[in-house]
Parts: sequence; C-alpha cells; structure tokens
Amino acid sequence: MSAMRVDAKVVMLGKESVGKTSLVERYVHHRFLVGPYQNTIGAAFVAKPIQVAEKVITLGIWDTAGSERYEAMSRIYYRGARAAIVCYDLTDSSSFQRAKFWVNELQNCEEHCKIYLCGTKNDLIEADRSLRQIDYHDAQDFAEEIGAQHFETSSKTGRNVATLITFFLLFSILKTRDCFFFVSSEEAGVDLGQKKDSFFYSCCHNN
Amino acid sequence: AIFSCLKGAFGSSAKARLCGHSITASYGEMCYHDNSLVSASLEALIQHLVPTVDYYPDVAPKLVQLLTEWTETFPYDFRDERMMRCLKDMTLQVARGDEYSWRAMQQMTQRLIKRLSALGQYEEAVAALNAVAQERPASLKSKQTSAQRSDILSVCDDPFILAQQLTHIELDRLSFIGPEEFIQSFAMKDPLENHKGFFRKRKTSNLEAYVNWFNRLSFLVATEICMPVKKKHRARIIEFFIDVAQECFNIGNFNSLMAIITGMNMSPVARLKKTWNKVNTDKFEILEHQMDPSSNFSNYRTALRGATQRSETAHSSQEKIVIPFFSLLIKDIYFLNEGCANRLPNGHINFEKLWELAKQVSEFLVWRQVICPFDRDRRILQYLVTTPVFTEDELHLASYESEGPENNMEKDRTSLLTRYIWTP
Repeated sequence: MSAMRVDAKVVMLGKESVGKTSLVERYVHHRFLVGPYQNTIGAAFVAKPIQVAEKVITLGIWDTAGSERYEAMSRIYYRGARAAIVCYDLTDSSSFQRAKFWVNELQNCEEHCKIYLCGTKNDLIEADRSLRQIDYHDAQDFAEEIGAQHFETSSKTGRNVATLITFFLLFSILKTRDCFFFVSSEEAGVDLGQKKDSFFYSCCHNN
Repeated sequence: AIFSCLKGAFGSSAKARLCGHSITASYGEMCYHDNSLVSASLEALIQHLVPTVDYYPDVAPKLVQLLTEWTETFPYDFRDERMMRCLKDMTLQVARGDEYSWRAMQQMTQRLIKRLSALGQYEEAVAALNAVAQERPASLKSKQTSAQRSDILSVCDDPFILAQQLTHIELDRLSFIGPEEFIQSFAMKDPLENHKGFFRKRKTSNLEAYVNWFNRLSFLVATEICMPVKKKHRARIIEFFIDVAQECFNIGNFNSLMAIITGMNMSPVARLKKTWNKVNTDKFEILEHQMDPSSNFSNYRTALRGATQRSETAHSSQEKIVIPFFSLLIKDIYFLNEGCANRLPNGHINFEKLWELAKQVSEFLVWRQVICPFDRDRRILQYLVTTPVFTEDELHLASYESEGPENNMEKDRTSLLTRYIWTP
C-alpha cells in the first residue's frame, strides 16, 4: 500500500502452489511466517529497494499467489512488466505446461519482457530423484528456444535463488545502461544465509 | 475452521468477561494489550472458560449464546452429520436446564436447517446452470455460422440495466460464501488442524462458484467482442461494455467492473487494433486507472474506502452496495494467513493475526448481507449465466478471423488452432 516509486516491474507467474511466494519471501524478506501482520497485508505487491553502486532501484514484485484461479487476469498483471519469473514445479509436469502457456502469452503481448524460467522445489528432487517430472535438458532446450534464462531453484535451501536474482539485475534492471558495478550480497538481499561473506562481482556492457 | 470457531467462542465470551471483571495476572499464559487479547496458550484459553470461585456463570445461557453465534456465523460446519449429532446432544443437555434455553435452542436449530436447505438449493441451481452453459452448440465452433447466436445487445442494450443484473448475480453468489471458506481454501498445513478430521476436508465450493463466475464474465465479454464479423459491430460492443463497466463502478460493483476490464484485456481482444482504433477509449482509460494494479491497487483501495463510507452512511439500499474485487480480497487474506504464524515462538496462539483475519472477513460479511434493490430481469440473467462462451483457443481463433494474424508467431498459432479445433 505504499506509494513507493517503482523503477522496474517484475511479475511472478506459475500454477497454484509451485512456490512463487516462497521465492519472493526468500529473496525479499529472508523470512517466512514471522513478522508483524501489518507488513504482510497486501504483500501481494512487494516493493524492494536495491542498492546498485550509488543508485537505488526499486523492484516492484507482483505475486499472483492465492488468486491463480482467476486465469484470465494474468495479462492485467504482466502488462508493462520488465521481467517475468515463470515458475514451474519440478515434480509436477502439468505446471510446466502452464508455464509454456504464460511464456506464449508473454511473447505475444509483452515483447520487451525478459523471461526467467524457474523450476522450483529442487530440494525435493535432491532428496528423491524419482520425483522429477521435468527433465533438466528439456526445460533448458525450451528456455533456449524462447531466449529465456533457466534456473532450478530451491527456496528451502536457497539454491540458485541468489543467482537468479543476480542475473535478473544484470539483464533486466540495468539493461539500458553501460555499467560496471558490484552488488553486496547483504545489501541486495540475495544472500540466503549460506555465503555470508561473498560478494557478487559482476559487470555488464550493454549497447 | 477450528480457528474460526475458537475465535468466535473466545471473541464473545472472553470479551464479555473482560468488561465485567478486571483480568489479573492469574492467567499467566494470556497476554493483553490495551484490554484486547494479543496471544495466549491453548491451555490458558480453555482454563479461561472454566468457571472459578469468583466467576461462576449460569452455564446454559452462555452455551446457547456460543452455539447461536457458531451456527449463525459458520452454519456450514453443521453440514457434517457428526456436528449435527453433537448439536442435538447439546440441545438435550441444555433442555434439562430450563424452558427458556430449550426454546432458544429449538429456534436456533430451525434457523440453521433453513440456512442449510437454502444452501442445498443454491448448489443444485448453480450445478444446473453450469450444465446448461456447458452445452456447446455446434454454432459456436465457427464464427461464420455463429450468426444465429443472439448477442448481448439483442438481449439488453441499456448499460445501467445490465450492470444491475450483474449486481444481482454478484450478490446472489456472494451471499452463499461461508466465512470459513476463505481460510479453508488455503489452509492445508494448519498446525492446529483437528486430528479427528472434522474440518479436514476442504469445502470451498461456494467460493469456487464465485471465482468461476468472474472467469465466466471475463470470457463472456471477450466472446461477445470477438464474435461479430463486422469491425463496426465489434467496436459497438466494446463501447457498450465500457458503459456497463462504468455503471458497475457507480453502483459499487467492483468485481463485475474488474471482470469486464479483464475480458477486454485478454490477448484475443487486446490484439484487435483496428477495432480498438474505432473506439473512444477515454472512459475506459479512467476505469483502467481506477483498477490499475500498481502500488498494490492503491487507486482501487481508495475507491473501495469511498464506497465503504457511502455504504455506512447510506440512505437507500442502493447506496449500501459494496462488492469488492474478490481476487484481491482473497489474495490479501492469503498473504495474511501465509505471512503470519498461527502460533508465536512461545507456543501461544497469535490472536493479533486472528483479530486481523476476523476484521477482514467480518467486513466482507457485512457487504454480503446487502439486499439487491434492483428489479430482476429473468431473460437477461438467464443469458448472462448460461449462454455458451468461447474457450481460450476458440477466442484466439475468432480473433484471428476478425483481424488476420500479423506475424509468423500468430500465423503458426492460427494454423495450429484451426487444425486442433476442427479435428474432434
């Protein structure tokens, strides 16, 4: 409900219970199931300021969780989005079909929107490989075909969430600028308690 | 559900005791702030209800009061036979007490049975309507032959009347949603879940029927726009629905308003650029601005506050109407439920969260009660809830038939869809 200025709109898409919210919560708040309730009312929209070099960029993250059954509404949410994280559950093949649907929609309607394809719940696969329903290479091929970045993440262990977000910063947020920057993991909030001492050092030359 | 009931029980009785007696530190497991309960352990809450030497109320009236509140607020809990049996047992027990309580219990049970049978009838009606809507006449399969299907303008060409009928449908469907359905629809990992399984099964069919209505209205709007062969006709339908959307806004029917905007934003409709060029979109832009998702729908939330105030000071039943954009309401409740723990780290039940949930749901319960003041038009209502609508694929195909595919991606899709839809 804040009137914070948003520099880049990011939308989370994915079938019910693929873990969109967990991903956002992991990244933005480092929390789950804690905190005063005032902060979570209307948390469907999260404005996350990120310090990049001397600049502060505000990411507006849209999470459609809890309202997936309103299928026709997705375009209202992704309209004008700079980036979309399309999530599917690695253990649920129908969620991948749904992800393909959204990719198709995005390509049709939002040609400037950068797509990140994200297979969630990797920790389940690591615990039991037979649960996997989406082959890594199939998803990778699909991602290449559509020019998307592809990650397999776990919000539980934090695997690849930081990488996803870093790529995100590189390709989406700073797309239009020549830049050379580094992001402190702590400030950017990408650290998930695993590598407290690490810094992301990245550069990007565009245009 | 067990939470909701606890809330109901403690909401009334705990508070009632608070007013009459000053609560001391004797209940160490209960924390208060400004006289309202913030958190407590389950044991302490139960203890709190057990009579003490200082506090020994007449049990029967309290029990009747509690059960009345329970059956009125959460009648659907009693669709379960076991619950009904419990209620009957209680009635017998209370009856041993006094005549007055016995009569109160009888009245309460009758009201409950009436509510539940109305619910049964409603469910049957919705199922029957859905069955009719599912009958897909062959005419709808192709746009060329769909000319026989009557369109919305032939059924109703007055935007205000159509908005009134939409409001009827909204309020009909809203009135049957039980407050517990909000929580049940997400509560899959509730740590306080009753192990006996009384409430384990999800019963959210009325909430789902309401969500389906929104989807249906969006698809209906998109179907009506994509179907006409002539561009001029398509543009006229768009303009008509813009007027309907505006009337919905004025009435306070934000849910239909958003469904219409959604229908117009669906990609098969949005891509009809030549059609949109013929439409005056000034009004539509204002409405879209009102329902703009940015800053967490802040424009809409402001408008909703305005409508709520109007409702509170209403002089007519028309002014009382507030029909929230339901998708956002469930999302807010979803995040409230997901984002806050039911129990605090010390094991206490987190009342602050429960009060907040109760606040959100009670506000909805007030809106749900409004009697719709407009005249019903059976023919229009029938059309709105039963006329067949295109599926996603059919909409795309109809759209490409109206304005040909513009790029290779659209061309591929057209040939794919044509093959897919024409081969059974």
